[in-house]
Amino acid sequence: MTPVAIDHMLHAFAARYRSAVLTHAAAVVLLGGAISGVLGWRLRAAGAAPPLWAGAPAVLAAVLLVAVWRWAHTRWIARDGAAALLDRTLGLQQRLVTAEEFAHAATPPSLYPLLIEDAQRHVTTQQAGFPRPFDHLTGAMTAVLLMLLLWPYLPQALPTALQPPQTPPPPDQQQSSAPQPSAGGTGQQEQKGQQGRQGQQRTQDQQGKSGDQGQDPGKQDGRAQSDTQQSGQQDSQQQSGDQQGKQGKADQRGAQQADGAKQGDGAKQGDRAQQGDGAQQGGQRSDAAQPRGQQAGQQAVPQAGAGQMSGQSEALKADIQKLLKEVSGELKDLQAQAAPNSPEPQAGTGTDPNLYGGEEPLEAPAGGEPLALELGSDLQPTTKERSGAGVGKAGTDVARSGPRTQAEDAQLADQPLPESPSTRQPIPAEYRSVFDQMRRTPQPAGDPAQ
Amino acid sequence: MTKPDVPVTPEEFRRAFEAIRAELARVIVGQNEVVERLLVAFFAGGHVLLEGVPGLGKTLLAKSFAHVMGLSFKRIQCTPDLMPADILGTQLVVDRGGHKAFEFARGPVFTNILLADEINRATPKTQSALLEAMEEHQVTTAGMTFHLEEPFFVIATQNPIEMEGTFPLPEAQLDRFLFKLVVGYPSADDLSRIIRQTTTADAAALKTALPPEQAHTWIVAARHLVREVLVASPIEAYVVRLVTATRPESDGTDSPASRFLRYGASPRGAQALLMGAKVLALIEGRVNVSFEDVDRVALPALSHRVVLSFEAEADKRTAPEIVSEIITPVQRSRT
Repeated sequence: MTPVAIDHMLHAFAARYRSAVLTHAAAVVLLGGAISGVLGWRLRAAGAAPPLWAGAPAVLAAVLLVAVWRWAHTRWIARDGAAALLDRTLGLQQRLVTAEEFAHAATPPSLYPLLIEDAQRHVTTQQAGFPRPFDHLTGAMTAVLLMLLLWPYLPQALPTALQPPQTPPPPDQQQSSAPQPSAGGTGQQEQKGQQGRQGQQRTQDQQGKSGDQGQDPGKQDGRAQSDTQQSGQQDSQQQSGDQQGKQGKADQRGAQQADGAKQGDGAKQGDRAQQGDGAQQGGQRSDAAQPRGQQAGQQAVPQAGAGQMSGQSEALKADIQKLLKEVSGELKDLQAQAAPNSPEPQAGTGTDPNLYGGEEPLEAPAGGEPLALELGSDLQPTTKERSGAGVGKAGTDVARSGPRTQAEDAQLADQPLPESPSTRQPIPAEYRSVFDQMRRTPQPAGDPAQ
Repeated sequence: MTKPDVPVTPEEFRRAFEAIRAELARVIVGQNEVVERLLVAFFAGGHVLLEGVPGLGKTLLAKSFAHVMGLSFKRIQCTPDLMPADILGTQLVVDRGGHKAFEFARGPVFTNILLADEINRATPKTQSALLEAMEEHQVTTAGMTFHLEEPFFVIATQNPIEMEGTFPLPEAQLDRFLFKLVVGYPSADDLSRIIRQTTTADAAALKTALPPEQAHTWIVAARHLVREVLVASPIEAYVVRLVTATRPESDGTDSPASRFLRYGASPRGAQALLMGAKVLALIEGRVNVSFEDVDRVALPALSHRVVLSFEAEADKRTAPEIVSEIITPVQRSRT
């Protein structure tokens, strides 16, 4: 490969890389512009204010343009520094820089052909480093654009609870089906689907409490299989609706009964009304399921009342509120009746205010008069040095009661005081005669060593 | 350097390098980086200073390396009473046909691979006897100069502890070593392999990786090949920036170099950087040096060439720490 060839290769490579960068940037800009336009169109159609439907797309387009410009700027390869940038971008470890530099040498080094061969091989294998026109970013932008374009058709797939109430079904149909006040759907089948879902949730809760019930295949009919998509279970749902119609009275009775045993009965029937076949096993639940059954019975009351009312939602809401108030009053009565029979809470498990006994008044001191305590503080400014320590001058009260230094009377003597041993080690018996002899022997005078 | 008779291709060099490394790895367990840098220094034409506590296999590494390379090997156990003549050689009076004559008895420096064990226990006078041999590959004594046989490679070891009675190498002597390699403790797994390998009857027997009759020629050709590896001007500029960054006066008064260094790396440091990088490039299968090659040899090539300031010693900073702190901004700013 000649120097001209390496130059040609580098320039061709750089041109190809630049075109890839431009293509990708153009794709991003086009998609971004389309997204901005469609977004503005949708916002305007939705009745947004002009600053919103005009400003938001403009800001989005501006941000996108700046981001694309910066990306392209960092990736752009000039003709002069093509080799260095390609080495860095493609991870060629300075192969191209070296090849370009020695391509113009008068006598190419002996290893230069090997370098060119190596560089060519790596350039070929590193083609994946080129920016692709369509990548994850452009894919995501295309998806966003499609979502914006299909936005008017999307609400049908949204949950029905988010939709406004439409034409109410006839009263007789509401009676035959499960009357759910919160259900915004118009079709009976949709109401059945919601009933099935509620039945599924309750049955799942029930299974969480008593796992043995999940073994019964009869309960499977009342669970998720009662969804509207599964037409095979529509029969069971129809039965569920019939049972609901029949048991509407039982629900009312269950909601009005104050007796605990009857509450349980009403709860069973309420569950039965909600769950269809699967709820029949709900009647076999333990006492832990009673509050839920009671709730079901309470919900059945407004359902029955709502079936006889008109389809206007306002009236329905007012009726629901009224019934809820009645039910809450009954609940309070039930709690008041059940309170005397309820056992005392155990320590640490309840919030009984009298758990640790009532409040006791503080006793008067034994001496009669309480001890008067006066707390004083030193208010003197702390700018001067104090006599004891610190800075500032102590206040009068504190200075009077504070510790004082006293002159010490003791003085160091000029001469050491004569000291005599206070203790003497006992002399062992075998040496006692020796020491006695030493004591008897007169010591020579003037011997400092002695 | 004259052109060798037997050229070595980069692929042959890479294969031989891997063969030598694999053979050494059979005996030297868990010191792969030290072994690789030792080989890099050998093919770059430099010398190596190994530092480590006793018992880490420094002497074994030197002996095994000489055996694998198929080169002559001699060892000097440095002590305070070792004299320069004990290393270089001395003039002896011999009887030649009835008349007396002086004859030069060659010392242990006349070999291919010289192990100077515990070099810091020799006096500075004896240490300096190696200066000429290491740098110029020749010995001058009694007015006569003797050229050493190529390849000539010095492996010196020193012990960082037990510093009483030692003579730390002077800066001029340290500068002669291409790399200073710190031999660390082996890991638990490597230690298990070491005791399993060295306490049984069937110890690993080393083989020479190069044909003995061609070893000298091949090594000279390989060293010539290393010098032919291509270096682009940005790489050279990068090496220069790295070395000048170690000078205290290079970059402000608050820079790590000005605070912790009294003297920076010498031009020999730049040579060591580039030669080591060239060998690494050949190992990687390239015939050109990259920035990464220079980075890999920066610490072993520069750490022992700087002189720490009092502040660095008071802060108990080590030379590798400071050099790493100095060259990191340069590495980030490269193009």
